[in-house]
Amino acid sequence: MDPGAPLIQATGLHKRYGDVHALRGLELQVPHGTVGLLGPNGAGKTTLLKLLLGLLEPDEGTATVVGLDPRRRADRLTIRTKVGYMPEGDCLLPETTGVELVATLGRLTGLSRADAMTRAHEVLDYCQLEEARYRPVQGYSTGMKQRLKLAQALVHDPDLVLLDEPTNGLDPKGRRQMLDLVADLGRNQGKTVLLCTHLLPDVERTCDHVVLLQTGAVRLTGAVAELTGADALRVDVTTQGLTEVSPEALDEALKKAGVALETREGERLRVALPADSSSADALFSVAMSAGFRIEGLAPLKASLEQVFLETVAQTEGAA
Amino acid sequence: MKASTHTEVYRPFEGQLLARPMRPAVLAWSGIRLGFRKKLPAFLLFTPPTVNALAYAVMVYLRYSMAEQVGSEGGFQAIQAQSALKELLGDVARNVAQFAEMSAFFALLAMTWFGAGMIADDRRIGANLLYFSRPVTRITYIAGKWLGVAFFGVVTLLAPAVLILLTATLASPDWSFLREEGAVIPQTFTYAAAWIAVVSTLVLGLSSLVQRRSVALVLSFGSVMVLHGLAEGAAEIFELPQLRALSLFNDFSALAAGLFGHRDLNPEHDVLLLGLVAWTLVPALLLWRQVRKMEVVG
Repeated sequence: MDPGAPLIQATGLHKRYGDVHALRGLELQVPHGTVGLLGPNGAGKTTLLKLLLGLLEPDEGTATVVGLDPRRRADRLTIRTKVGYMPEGDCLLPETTGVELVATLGRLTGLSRADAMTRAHEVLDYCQLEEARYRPVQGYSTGMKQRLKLAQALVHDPDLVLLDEPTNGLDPKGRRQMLDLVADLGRNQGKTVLLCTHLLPDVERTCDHVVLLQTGAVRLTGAVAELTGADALRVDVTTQGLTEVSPEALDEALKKAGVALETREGERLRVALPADSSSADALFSVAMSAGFRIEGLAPLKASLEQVFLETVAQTEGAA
Repeated sequence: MKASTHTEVYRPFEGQLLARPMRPAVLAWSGIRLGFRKKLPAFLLFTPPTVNALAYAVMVYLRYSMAEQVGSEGGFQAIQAQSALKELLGDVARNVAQFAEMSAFFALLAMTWFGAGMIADDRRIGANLLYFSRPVTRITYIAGKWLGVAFFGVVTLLAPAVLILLTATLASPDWSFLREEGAVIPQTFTYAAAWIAVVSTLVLGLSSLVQRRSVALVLSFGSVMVLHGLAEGAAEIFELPQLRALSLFNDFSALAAGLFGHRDLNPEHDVLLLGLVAWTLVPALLLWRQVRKMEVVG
């Protein structure tokens, strides 16, 4: 496989459960790094993960994972040695200990007995379960269970890690620990992580790229920085002397420079620069003609939530 | 390379994955280890077959050692004493056959107890997702679970039988057991293997149908016992002895008669053997169908 090629590619993926269309012609390319697969409940995220692992068969379309086709038996088995999967549900046998579970699953992936045990201890350490490793899983907290599920996904050191709702049911501390681990895997350990979640702040905090899935299709995809930076033409301005400028004078100066006023409050302004402006020159000309000084400029960044809500609203409007 | 919350760093794996990692054995061992986690059921289920095996082994040992002692005295009285001993203790081949049939029930108890949850529990908690997201195929999964259940049959039926056969072999003078009654060894292995295979398949087939271990346990043990009662009753009421084939015990009794030759063959011997085939095929098909559903996770 070409090292620069996307680890996951999907073309025209369709999946139906009876009358329900879980995926509708999904087109997707997942680059290396930490990628958030974002979407409301029922968007088709879990279905997509299962299709990628070959746990489900698509009705139409094709997908490749690490350059292999999950519909082919031999490819499917190879994919599963290169991919770590953390399922959403509990799915941990309650009477096993953490280390037994992780080592057994490591051996099922193909590790030797000795390697599986060594790796189990290493990944349990990494996932901060060092003291709990010999305790039966039934005594674990929700956070520990989630981290154990992450540990089993990492035991064979996969290139690609698929995480299905890893912060589900976690308290703020547990959530922070999990997100730190996810961010570390993607940013420091060179893993490609596909983080499947409906929680925008999780994606915003850990992911470099985002794929927005809604009603079984990709509605938006791109780098988080680009998506949230798309509103950079709106600026918060801190001034000196603005309180002494009359509204009429300010309006006239803004109009002349083609700058639209959004809000004015004391020494602060929020404005939208002209679409063709490449710098804040227009603002300085406004300040000069109206008679105040600019002390600070802060481009407004859209939150991922805004982008998400706008995209969902557009899709619903179009529908 | 250390995340702020970590006490340990992530270590990449430098080794190689095995080409043939014996996945069924790994799965089987995992199930066996879980089975032994609770000590009391293991003690209760393994004690009777162990005591039974020891009793038979002692009987076989006495049969040879006392016969040898009496025989060394010579004379008519010694010959009489030898035949009295043989009558009292029975011949070894018959003892082994009786033991195998008796222990089969203990094996059934142990295999249903330990095997009932093997697939039902996986279904209940969704552990199949963890297995099938790895290079585990349907055949690997079934083989692993099957070996796990079969292990408890081996411990409660085959291993004790081997102990008795070994005792007979070592205690018999001039290897006379091997020379005169050696055929009972493959017969015992065949009988035990058939029982273990059929019961393992039955227990797993029924375990795959439900999501609760307790329900699977009742289904497995209940189906054998209830169908035995029904078969006997229906055969009497309708005067159709072929209906006895519905009972697993009757089917294995026919197999034992055919193998060991210690009883006369039942007139419905062939029908009973067909019953045995049905006891194997129906759960096997159920198992295959259910595990297919578990492998493709909808």
